[in-house]
Amino acid sequence: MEKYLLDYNWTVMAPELIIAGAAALLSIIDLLMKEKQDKRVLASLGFVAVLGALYFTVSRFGQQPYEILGDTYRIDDFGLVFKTLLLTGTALVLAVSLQEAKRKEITAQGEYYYLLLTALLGGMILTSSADLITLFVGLELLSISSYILAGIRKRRTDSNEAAWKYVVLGGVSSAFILYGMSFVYGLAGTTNLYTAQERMAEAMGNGMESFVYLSLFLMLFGFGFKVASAPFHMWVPDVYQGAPTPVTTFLAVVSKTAAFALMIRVILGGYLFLFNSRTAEGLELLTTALLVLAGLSMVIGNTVALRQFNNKRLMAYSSIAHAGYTLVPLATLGPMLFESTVYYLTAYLLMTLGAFTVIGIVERNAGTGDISAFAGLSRRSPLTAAAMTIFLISLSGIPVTAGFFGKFYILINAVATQHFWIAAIMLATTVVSYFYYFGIVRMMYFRPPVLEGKVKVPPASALVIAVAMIGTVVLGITPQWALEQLGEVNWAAALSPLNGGAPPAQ
Amino acid sequence: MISMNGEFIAFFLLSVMAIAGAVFMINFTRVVHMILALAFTFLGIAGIFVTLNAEFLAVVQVLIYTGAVSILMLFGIMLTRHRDETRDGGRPWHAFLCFLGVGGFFALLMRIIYGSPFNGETAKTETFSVSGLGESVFKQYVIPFEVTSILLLVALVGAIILAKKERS
Amino acid sequence: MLENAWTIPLFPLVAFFLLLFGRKSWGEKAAAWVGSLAAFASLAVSAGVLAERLSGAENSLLSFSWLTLGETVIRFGIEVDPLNALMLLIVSLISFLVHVYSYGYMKGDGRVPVFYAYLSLFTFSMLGLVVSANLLQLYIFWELVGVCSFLLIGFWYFKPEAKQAAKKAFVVTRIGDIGLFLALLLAFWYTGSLELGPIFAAVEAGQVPAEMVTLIAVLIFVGAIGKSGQFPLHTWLPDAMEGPTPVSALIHAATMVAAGVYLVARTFPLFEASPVALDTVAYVGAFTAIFAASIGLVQNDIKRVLAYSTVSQLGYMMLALGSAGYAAGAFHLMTHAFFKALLFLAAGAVIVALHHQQDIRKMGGLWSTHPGIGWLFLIGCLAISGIPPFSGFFSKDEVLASAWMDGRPGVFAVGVVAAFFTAFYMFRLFFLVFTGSFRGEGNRGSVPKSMLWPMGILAVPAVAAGFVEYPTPFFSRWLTEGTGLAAEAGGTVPLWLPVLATLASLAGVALAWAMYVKRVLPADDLTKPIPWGYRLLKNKYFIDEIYAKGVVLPYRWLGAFLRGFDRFVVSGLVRFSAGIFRTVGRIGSAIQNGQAQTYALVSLVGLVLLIIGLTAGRLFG
Repeated sequence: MEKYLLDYNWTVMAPELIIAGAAALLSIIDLLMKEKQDKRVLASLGFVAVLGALYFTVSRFGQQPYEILGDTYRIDDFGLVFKTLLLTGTALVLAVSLQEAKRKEITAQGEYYYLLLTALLGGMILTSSADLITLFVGLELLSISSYILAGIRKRRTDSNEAAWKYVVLGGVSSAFILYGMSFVYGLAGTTNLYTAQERMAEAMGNGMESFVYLSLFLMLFGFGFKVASAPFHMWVPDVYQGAPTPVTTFLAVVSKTAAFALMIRVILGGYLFLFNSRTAEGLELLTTALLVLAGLSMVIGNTVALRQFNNKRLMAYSSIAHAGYTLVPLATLGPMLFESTVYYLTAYLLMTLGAFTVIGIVERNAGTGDISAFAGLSRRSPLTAAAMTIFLISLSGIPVTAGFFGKFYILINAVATQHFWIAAIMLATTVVSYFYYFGIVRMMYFRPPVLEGKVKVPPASALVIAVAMIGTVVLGITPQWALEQLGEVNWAAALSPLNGGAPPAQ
Repeated sequence: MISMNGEFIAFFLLSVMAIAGAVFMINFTRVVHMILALAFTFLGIAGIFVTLNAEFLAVVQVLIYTGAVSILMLFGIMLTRHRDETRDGGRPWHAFLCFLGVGGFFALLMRIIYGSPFNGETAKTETFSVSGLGESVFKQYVIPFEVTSILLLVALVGAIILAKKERS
Repeated sequence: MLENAWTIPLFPLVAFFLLLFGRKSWGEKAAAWVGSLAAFASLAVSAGVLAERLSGAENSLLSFSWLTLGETVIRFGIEVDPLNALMLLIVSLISFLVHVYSYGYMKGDGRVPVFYAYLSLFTFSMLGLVVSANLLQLYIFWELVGVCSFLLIGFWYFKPEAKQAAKKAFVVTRIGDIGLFLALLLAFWYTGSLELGPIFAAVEAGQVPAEMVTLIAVLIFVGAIGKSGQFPLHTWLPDAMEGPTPVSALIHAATMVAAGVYLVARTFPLFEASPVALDTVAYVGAFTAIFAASIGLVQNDIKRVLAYSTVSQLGYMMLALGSAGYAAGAFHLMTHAFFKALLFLAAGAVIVALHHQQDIRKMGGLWSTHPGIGWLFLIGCLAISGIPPFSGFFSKDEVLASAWMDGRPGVFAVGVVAAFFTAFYMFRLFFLVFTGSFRGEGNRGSVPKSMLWPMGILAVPAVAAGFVEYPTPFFSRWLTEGTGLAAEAGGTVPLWLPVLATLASLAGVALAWAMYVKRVLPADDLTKPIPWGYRLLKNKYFIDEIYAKGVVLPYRWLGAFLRGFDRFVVSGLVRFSAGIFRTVGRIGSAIQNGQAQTYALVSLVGLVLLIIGLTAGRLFG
């Protein structure tokens, strides 16, 4: 029996609707405001909307999964967890943006805020659909909003350059994803992931393996680009460096998390048959491909970071390396795939957000993006320096921080599935990463300050730093709590269609 | 086996047109020429759609791409300041690597396509209709469709704020 | 008392937070009091715990559930068995004395509260390490002491050498930590537990393949190599002497560097189950002992001589452990902690008296002005050289005995020669510093009382600690009680063995005396015939240089290559023509200079290579 639009319970989309509504509202209010007026009230509105969406998202936990229109929208625990991460990340980025926008560098302040919301909306769509078309549209919404955000400081040449490169290369990657998706459609005749999975499994048996693999590899290109993994990472340093710091934070945290959600959903939703196919070949191929990406990212990210002297460039390479770490559980299909990935992404969100916030403050204070901006920070602002140290310790994976347990769980996955070589690369490159992370620590503690006076930390940023720091330490001391919460989540629901899931006729 | 019927000849001509347009677009040095070449590619693709019985798509292709998009680009170029000529990169190894990369990719695709057994059946193209398309856009795919509208809005806003001249 | 053992690490932790938040408002004195009192509280409880252990209480294990991995629950807990109790006392005692001593040494530094904060944090971490009941917890504290060591070595950050040394220490020990971490993961995977008890039980029950036991044990030993400065990861320890002397005494002589030895002792059942691992420990230990001792012969910096002697003595302990001498290794760890801390503190006193002069060629004749320090230093030298009846004699004797009884005559011979070297360079140091005439410039200052009495206290165990094992082997019986490990080597130790060891030491002392006091045998006569030998030792066998050439350089090249790739190939000439960048109006052309194309190209080539690499067999086969 065909279900009509109004037969569906649309209230499950409340978070998305709130964000979309808020974006529309903000654009209208922005029109009514005078040009010279302080637009920060918009940020507050956006912040409230994000919190509202967060409330509705969190309150959905524990309820039955639900789908609308043949999985073009589906709400399951997997999506909810990622949505929570995205919303938290965006809320914190909005808080940090308050001070950045004051600098008058961003001429289009109002637009800045609602573009953040539309980007977030794109990310949320990405986490809550099992239909290739919806997924792709969500991805593009996220991407196009990000392109504009990267170039929003249009008087700065580096910002322009960043936006330009991001658009072009992002376009290329979207094209590859689309090409891959078109092969999936060609093989399966449907855009629904679960149906596609069944039909591709049949196609595998009919001698079409090459096409199945081709579609997967083409999409890997795009996914690799979006999560910033090598060898699709080339855009990352330039874009991270050129974009305004809060936008960089958004790209590094929210955009990457959403891309991981997409990647996991498509690979596990669409290609699960590779894992239990009669021959081990499919699994072998997928695992090796992902592990190669992961290993390359770790090596390139951590090695090239050694030679960076710009904070954001350094963090860009670090972010590439972290993408490599995060890929490992998915690649190895370890026993704690979802838990360890989400735990690591949470840890990564907290520490990266914190680190970027501090970098933003320090850069503005010193007027340079160079690492030397950190010189003597421990004397000029001891608490900020202490917080930064904790973030760096966590990023380098030293106990007692979230980053340590994140890496620990990932390593458990690698060792449990007997992929010792990736564990070895991970440990070795982790040691390499100490060099550059501790380069900043040395700057802060072992160098006399270049500038005089205290470093002023705006209250909103102080709050973000405090939240990130407490989160990093608490997750590091009681990882069990987070893991238990994640363990209660019904991950399996993401892997199968609902209600026996007969897809609508094509 | 490929038989030399009218369909094949049409396909052959149209593909040559599409590919040649793309190649010329890259090799021309004047922007206006490039857009003309691009329009040719669009036309060629529209023609291929016709041979595939997808008339609606073909019409849309001509209407939007060959018409609207190309004209918009021409306007954009004429209304903005730009340097008309592109310089030659002067990096032969770069071109060589590009050729290698793209050529390798092409060879790979061809290898896969020719290495896979396609069975004889083809879809019944006659049953596709514009009304069916409309129905699925507004029923099954209403969510992505609505999101697309937001996406277009965002693109519009972005174009304006990035291109707008400021009064300072 | 045992049930209160969990409070021991907490006192310094509280002190750390107090000092951290009060560092602006508190003066030197207040900071010193806070730090010292906390350390004293730990010492008092540790002493109580040890007393209770000595009276034969049960092993105690206090823990709560911490995290769950699959089926396994990892518990956060503290454990007190004889070895822990002993370590607790050693660490808290030396830490307390160093806290007191630092007040005099660091006077007028300006950042004294910060210094005490770091010291307290270190004491907390080290005590936490010692009581850890499972490998993960141990690893966490293991990293924490590493971080503290990094902070304290670099405490005088305005000295470039200190900064370099801090970084070197941190990174080199991390290489060892990878080994430990891998061992931890493997142990977890094969035994399903990170608690020491279940791991040992699983190994004993044969649940773990023999080669895996070897691998795990060797990897643990790799961690110990890094922390305890064993060859080939020893290079950081002498450089770490750039830190303040109290730090060298506490961290880089008595406690943290002994953590490696402690780790091997703690996981000793694993080593016992694998002869290969035991051999590795014994040979690496023996080699380090002689290797570092030979470098110590020709160093001219007072602290570096002591540093190499530390490396060498740690090698001794490893040698003992590798020869199945569990008790002997722990025994030497204890006596060494006392006399080496004493030596470092005395060296610090000398340095203060000479206004931070560390070159022994510019010292001399200090006996006349500072006889107190002289006596204390002499006690330390006698103890480390193994002259009876000082503590070092007994422990060194046990180490050599276990090597002999375990059937390792080669290792034994190396130990004896190293003992000769040790006696020689220690007394060379003593004679050059305290006898003869003063060769430096300026006057010789006085040393504060607060520095002297901690040394006085340390001198007591340095002299007498050996008697816990003599005439009856009380110590080793107590230590091995209930562990199933052998208290002493089977059979009787031949009587000539202690005599030989003592003679070797005395010969070393005599040679030093002949060369540096009587001058019947000038040092030049010895070095002249073999100048390359002297240079080899003087330059520490060029190990640092070899590392710089062999390891670091290729690594730098790789980094430079990748960066060059990123920078020159990718970003192209544009980056250099910054002028183009700055000229407004030419931005567009500057951006469109082919870089983004290259980015896309790299990605595409990457994809093609990936596909071809992975599916070549299927596509073209």
